[in-house]
Amino acid sequence: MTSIRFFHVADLHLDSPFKGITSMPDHQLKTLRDSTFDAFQSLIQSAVQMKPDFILIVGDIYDGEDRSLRAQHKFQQGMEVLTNHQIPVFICHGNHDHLGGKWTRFQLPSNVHVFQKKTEKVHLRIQQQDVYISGFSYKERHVKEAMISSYSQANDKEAIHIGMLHGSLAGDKTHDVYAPFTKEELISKNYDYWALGHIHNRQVLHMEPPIVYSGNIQSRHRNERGPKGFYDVTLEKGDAQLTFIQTSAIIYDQLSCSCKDIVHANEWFGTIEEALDQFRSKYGAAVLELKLTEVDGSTLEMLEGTPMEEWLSMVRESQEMKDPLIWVQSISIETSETIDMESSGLTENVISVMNNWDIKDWKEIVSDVYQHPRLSRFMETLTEEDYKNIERSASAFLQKELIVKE
Amino acid sequence: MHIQKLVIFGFGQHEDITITLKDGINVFFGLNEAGKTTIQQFLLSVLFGFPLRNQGLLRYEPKGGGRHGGQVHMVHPEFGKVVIERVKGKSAGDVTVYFEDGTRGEEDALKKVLYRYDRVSFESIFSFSIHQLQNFDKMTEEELSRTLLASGTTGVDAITKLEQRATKEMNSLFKKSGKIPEMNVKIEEIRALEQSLKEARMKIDQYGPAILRITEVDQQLEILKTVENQLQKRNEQLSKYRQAKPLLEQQIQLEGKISAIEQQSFPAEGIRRYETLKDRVQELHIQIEQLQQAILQVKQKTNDTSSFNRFKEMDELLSKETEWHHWNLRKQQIANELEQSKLDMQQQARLLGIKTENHFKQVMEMDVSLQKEEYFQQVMHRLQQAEETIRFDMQSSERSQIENEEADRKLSQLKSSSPSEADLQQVGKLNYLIRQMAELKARQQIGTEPITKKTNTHFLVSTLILLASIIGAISFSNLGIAIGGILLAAVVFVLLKNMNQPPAEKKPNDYGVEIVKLEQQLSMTEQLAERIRVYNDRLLQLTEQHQDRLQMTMKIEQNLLASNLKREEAKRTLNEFLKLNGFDGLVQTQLFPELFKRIRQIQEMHHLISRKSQELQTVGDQIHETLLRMEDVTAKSLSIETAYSHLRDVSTSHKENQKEYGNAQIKQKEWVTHLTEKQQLFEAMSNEILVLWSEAQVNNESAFYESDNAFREKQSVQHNLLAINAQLDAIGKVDLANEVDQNLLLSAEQLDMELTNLLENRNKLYEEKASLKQQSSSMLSDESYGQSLQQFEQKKAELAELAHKWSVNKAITEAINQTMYDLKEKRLPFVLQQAQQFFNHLTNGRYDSLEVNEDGIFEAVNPQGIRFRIAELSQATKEQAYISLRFALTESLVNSIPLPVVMDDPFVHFDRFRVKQMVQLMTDLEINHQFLYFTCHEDMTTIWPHAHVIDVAALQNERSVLSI
Repeated sequence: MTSIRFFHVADLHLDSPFKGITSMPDHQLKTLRDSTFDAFQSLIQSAVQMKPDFILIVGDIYDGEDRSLRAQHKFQQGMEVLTNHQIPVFICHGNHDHLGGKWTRFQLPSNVHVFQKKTEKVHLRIQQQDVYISGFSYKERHVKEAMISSYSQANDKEAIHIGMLHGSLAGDKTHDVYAPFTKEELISKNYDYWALGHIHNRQVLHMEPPIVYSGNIQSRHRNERGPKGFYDVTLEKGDAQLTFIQTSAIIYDQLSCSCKDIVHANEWFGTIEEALDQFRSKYGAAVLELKLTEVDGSTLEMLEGTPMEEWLSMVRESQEMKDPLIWVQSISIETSETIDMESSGLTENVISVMNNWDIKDWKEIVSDVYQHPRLSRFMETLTEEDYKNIERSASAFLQKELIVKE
Repeated sequence: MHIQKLVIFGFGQHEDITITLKDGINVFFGLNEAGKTTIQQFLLSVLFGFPLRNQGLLRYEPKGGGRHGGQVHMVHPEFGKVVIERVKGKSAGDVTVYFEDGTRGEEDALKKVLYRYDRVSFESIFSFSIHQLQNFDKMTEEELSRTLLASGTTGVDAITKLEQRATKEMNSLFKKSGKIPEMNVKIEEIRALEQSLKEARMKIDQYGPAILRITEVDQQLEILKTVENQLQKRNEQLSKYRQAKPLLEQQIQLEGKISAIEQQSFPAEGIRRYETLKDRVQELHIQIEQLQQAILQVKQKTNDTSSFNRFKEMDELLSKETEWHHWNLRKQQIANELEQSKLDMQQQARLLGIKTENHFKQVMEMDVSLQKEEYFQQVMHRLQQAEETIRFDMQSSERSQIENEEADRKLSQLKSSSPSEADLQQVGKLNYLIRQMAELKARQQIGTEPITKKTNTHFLVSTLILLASIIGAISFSNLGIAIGGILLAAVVFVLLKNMNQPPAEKKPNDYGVEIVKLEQQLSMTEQLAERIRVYNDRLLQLTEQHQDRLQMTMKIEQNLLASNLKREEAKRTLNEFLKLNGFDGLVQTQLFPELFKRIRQIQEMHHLISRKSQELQTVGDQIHETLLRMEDVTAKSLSIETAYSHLRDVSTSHKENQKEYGNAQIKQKEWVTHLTEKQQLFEAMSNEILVLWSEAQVNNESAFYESDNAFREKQSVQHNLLAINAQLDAIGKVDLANEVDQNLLLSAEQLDMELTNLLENRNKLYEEKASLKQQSSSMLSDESYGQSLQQFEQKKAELAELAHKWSVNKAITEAINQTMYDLKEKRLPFVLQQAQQFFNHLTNGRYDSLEVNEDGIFEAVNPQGIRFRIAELSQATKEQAYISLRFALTESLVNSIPLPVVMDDPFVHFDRFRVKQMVQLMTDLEINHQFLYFTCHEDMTTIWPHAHVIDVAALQNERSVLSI
């Protein structure tokens, strides 16, 4: 039996901004901003080098209305390169780049097949192996109904069937629900591979047959941690080899850094720099949230002697000239239990008051800002986690303020 | 909890001091600088840690070195006797807690000992000073009530301050309708960015139309280009036309002229060539005439061409002179030989008895070949044999004759009825006639052979046919044949006889008539014979009856007949032969060979003679012929003898003539060739002239000259035309020739205008296109949109951060407020009640109660029910209220947190009465609380009767005493 090889790519979000980054200087910001293009370029380069039989792009090439002409231009150029190397590309549009938008469309080269709003099955033949690829594109931003029923059952036992589906698992509320499906539904179609898109977190939902989210090719948000890329899939009947290939030009991650026995600032800088260099040599360019662990009183004393912003800017300065770029987004201290507990009854009292608040209370409390008509447009709705964060910060602040009071 | 002892290792000015305390009130007295505050701070530091360097508080490290720190000995309700030791170590100092049971602890244990109270909390509840009371006065109403509340409930003013700070922070971060707060600023920035993003997006939206517009502009430009081209062409044409117009007119005029001149062509240098030719032709003409005359003269001279032939013949004859003489000699010789041969032959002829010329001829023609001789010898032999056979047969025939006579008689009977004699005769005549005829014919043949041979033969043949038919008729019957046989024998016999007679007596010409007669008779006889045949048929029938009888006879007769026939035949053959050769009578058979021999000799001689005479004749003829030719040649009658001498003379004279003639001939030939050359030349020249003429399309000279003139004119006109055409060519093709001038001039102006318009349009379009191109291509590579987006995101993130900060502050204020509220609701009533009692007691009943109104503000209520705000109270009353609240608070905590109360000279503003009240109150409380009262007023040392007074100034001495 012949095996075929293809790339499973999704969620390019070309030229979309990197979210949640503050006070980064412009020249570094450019690297960050070009990261989606860089990731896309490295995808194209991989394709040119490895020459897969075809490439699947499962939705969200652009970021909806925010798509820039540059993004479309670059994408088109990339497709031209693939055309020149005779690599077919199959695209289904997702919720971010649905067919309904009235943006200017670029003429894509002939090797690119774009699925339309009606689910379609495309046949191609690769080294005497029949391959059927099914998919559809979002006709508008919101496709809430399950589309899985529109996929035809795989009947040809010899041929390889691949489904492209941009959507989310039914019941998963952590993301916007689009074209929901259940694993059982997908398995029941008897396909040999389900290439999923929409969820940016890379994950294999099921093996035999593989039901796979390749994740996005470049993280764009602090919540999208770790290396990003696509799957290089070698597939034959009943057997699939998935190789992750990194494309992300910049990764977002958290880095824990132990501050055990650190008393002096230069020690601290040394430790931090070493940790960052290690990370750099392992993953390359990154945006990191630095988390200081095992901080004891004297370290804390030293750290708190200077405002955290100062420390942060000093760390950034120390990284400025290094390549690839590592941008430290924040430094947080994971205070040790002993210090955490050092609070008076009153402080505890205040903290316990906060502890007792539920989501509703929190909403009410922050409503001045988060419900403000002008502000709310520019702010994301807070999650439980966010509220926890606020609480944590508030507690820390209270403790800090009240403990060292004169 | 009661503090029993303070052991100072080293703290500020104090060193190695032990201060023993007792339960109840302890008064620390000392003048300024004595070290009261140091002791106060020592207690706090040991309990809650040395102040951190960044807290801005004094750490009281001993100036003179030595150990920093000390011990606090206490009796704890839970742990019993506890010693807390804090010495120099880490920033906050190293703590060791010694418990009664001998165990030790550190910070954790200390926290438990101190009920988890920190310094701030302790200070805000259990410790108060004159400053706090004084500041009480300066507080705003709200602050005051808050502080009262806070201190009154938990003693934590700090939390209020914190709340205030947080609120301030919050306000600096965000105000609902503010502009300055950070978040408001951020929002403005974000909105501005959003606006620019929108604009950018709109710009991007223009990309599609821009691209479309570019193609549109391209198309329009293309159209304009073609229009412009057309216009330019037309313009060009117009200007060209303007240039070309006079030329065109001239062109037309000249073309008219040219068409008027019919002369199509004229040979190049026609006239010159013609005249040269003409001169030469005339010259040639004269030459030819001269030549022709010369030739004619020569021709006349040598007109008789036969003279040449004659001369040739003469030469030939002269060359045959020897032959000629030979011929004459030979002629003479042959004549002699011939004479001799004739004599010999005559002798031989006489020997053979040949007398006549005819006979001689016959002999001459005899066949005397050996075969013939042989043949005759055989015939001779057969004759002898036949004669013997006949003799034998005659004997047998005589015997059968007798028998036949019998038979004959019978036959004679029949013969009586036989046809008439005349008829028979007639029939017999038939045979005769036939014979006669044959004879006649034979004679005629012999006589007229050379002349009438053909006709005679014809006749003879017809006769023979007639004879044959008769014989055929007869042969039908045997009898007829027998008779025929006899008759035939007879006929042959007669014929032979007749032949022996000389038949040549009659003239051959007479036979024709006789033959005709005979033929008539023959036809009659034939009719008769027919009748006889009928009779014979009947006779045959009779004869048949006697056949058997006659058979014998017949046989014999047949034999005889046969023998006779043989003999006769042999005889006849011989006789015939002899007779044929003119020899009559049968010569002895033995002489036959001799005869042959002689005849041969004669024949040979005859041949010889005839050959000689022929030769003679030939020679004679040759001589004669030659003579005739000579006569002919010499044109003179010549004798044979003198012929050649004459011939030679003539020949010599001829040869001379011939030479002369030859010369003339050569000359003539030369002339002829000249002539032909000249003639050819002449012809060629004439042809050339004709060619010239035909080229000029004329057929005579005058026309030729005329046409030359015409052509030359035409050429000059054409030349002019060519010049004009060249000019026109240089100008280029002009298409407008047909249009009217006026229109053309008008349209020229219009064209100019159109062109300028068009150029303007085009430039506009180019500009538009360029800007669109620039715009769209810059859009494709424009990073600013992405940059703005990123900025937008960054601002949003920053906003989120600020919002987070705000939220934290908000949460803090909210939490504090809620805590406050809780306290107000739960603990405040008890504290307030207690405070009321204290306040009532301290003010000696001036005020009944302290209450918190609906707005959360403290009010003092006097017995009349009049409400006073705190600010409205006197300074001392305020302080009393404050102290009441504080005492109420400690009182409320006495069971849960029994910490000692530390007071730093708070009663300075009180009058004696109020001090007394105060002392009374403290004395009341002394049972449950340990008081550490620091004062610089000496009278205070005596105000409490049971108070333990510590003279701070004396402590050093005490130590020294102790040390002593």
